[in-house]
Amino acid sequence: MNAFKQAMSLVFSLDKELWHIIGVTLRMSLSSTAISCIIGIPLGVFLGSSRRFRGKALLMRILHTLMGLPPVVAGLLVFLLLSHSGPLGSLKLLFSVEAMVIAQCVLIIPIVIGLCASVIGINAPRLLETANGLRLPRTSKTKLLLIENKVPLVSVVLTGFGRAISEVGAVSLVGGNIQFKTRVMTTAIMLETNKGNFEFAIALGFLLIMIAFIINFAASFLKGNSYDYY
Amino acid sequence: MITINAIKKYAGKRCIVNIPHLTIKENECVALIGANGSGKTTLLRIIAGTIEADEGKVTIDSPGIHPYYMPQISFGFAMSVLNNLKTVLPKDMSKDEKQKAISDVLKLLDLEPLAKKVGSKLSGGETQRMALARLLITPKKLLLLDEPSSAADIKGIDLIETALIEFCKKNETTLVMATHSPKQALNIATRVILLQGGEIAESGAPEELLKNPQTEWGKQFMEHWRV
Repeated sequence: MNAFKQAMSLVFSLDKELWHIIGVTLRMSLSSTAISCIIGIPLGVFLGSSRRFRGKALLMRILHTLMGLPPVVAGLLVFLLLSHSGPLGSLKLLFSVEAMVIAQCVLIIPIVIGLCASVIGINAPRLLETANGLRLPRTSKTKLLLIENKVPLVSVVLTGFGRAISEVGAVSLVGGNIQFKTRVMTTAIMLETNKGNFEFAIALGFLLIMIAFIINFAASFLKGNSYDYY
Repeated sequence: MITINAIKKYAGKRCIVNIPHLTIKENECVALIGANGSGKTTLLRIIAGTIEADEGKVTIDSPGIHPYYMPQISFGFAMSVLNNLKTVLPKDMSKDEKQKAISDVLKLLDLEPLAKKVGSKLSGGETQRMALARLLITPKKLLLLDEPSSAADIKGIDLIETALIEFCKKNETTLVMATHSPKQALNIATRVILLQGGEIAESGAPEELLKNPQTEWGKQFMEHWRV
């Protein structure tokens, strides 16, 4: 309880390091979620709405496997790619927020594609049969698919964000948990707990939950009941 | 207008549609009747191009004419009925033309009270009327309808039949529709095709075929429907 009180005072004391950690966490999580959604949603919509094609079943199986990719494996892959002797070593991105975003994208893109394909696949056959019967152009069909699946798609984005903000293995590998540079909330919690600095760890944990709650709350407005888009 | 040549469609090893030859002329209203699984929907979907036949060919030989298809279970888009109608209107239509087309079709199918309701939350019969309104909102030359009034009540069936008869007459539309109602076939069609096991069992003028079927199976089918 004492630790909790101390944690609260730390939250409201505008501790410089704490706010830097929060800033890096938000920058990393929002960037990786946005990039993953920009790449993953169109691919997921395509996969979910396309008829059976050669290799689709195999592709879906690979995707479902990648959805459970262990973060440390993703981190290791990105580490090897970006390390000094790696193929992308010349970019000098290792131990930067950008490297952390890349590692998170490797983890989140398959999740976004896989979930998106699953939700779109539920009503796409009926919707597309109706839309094709009406001879609607491709843009209208895509728009209708997105409108019809607005609520589950918001959930897909939130799932991606949830994965990003709570991830620790990959970001500590490629970010290095460097103070005032790549330290994020999850890696800081681990470090502070190991150091026995529970107040700081609890404060971070509390803030992490608060951020997730605020973002989920904001997303619930997006899910809303507004049906008219035209 | 529509020429069907030696089409076959299989579900696994079972042949579900096998039609050696069939032609449907311009302005003809053809009703496909038959029991469940007789191949009505599959044939319509092949003509509409939503699925492909495994063998044979369907040709629509009138230039610039495309099939418009209403599936058995139509999808009400998750937006108001009004916007469901706006979605299908061509972009080059003027605002006044759009307004008139919407108002006419709402009146035709008695959808005015439902105009602001959400399309995906309508009852089955209401959804069918809205789905038909989306098709009838602009002139069409070829309509393919799969049981367009199967979920409608008596008033809804009357509205749908009247709308279809008026629309086809006004626009010289060719209509191919699947129905389970011989009465509807009598009301709308100029030719009835009785399907059995994916093949044409009988074909002819509605009065003739429905009241005096020639094949044993046709007699059994009509007896069941008490025509």
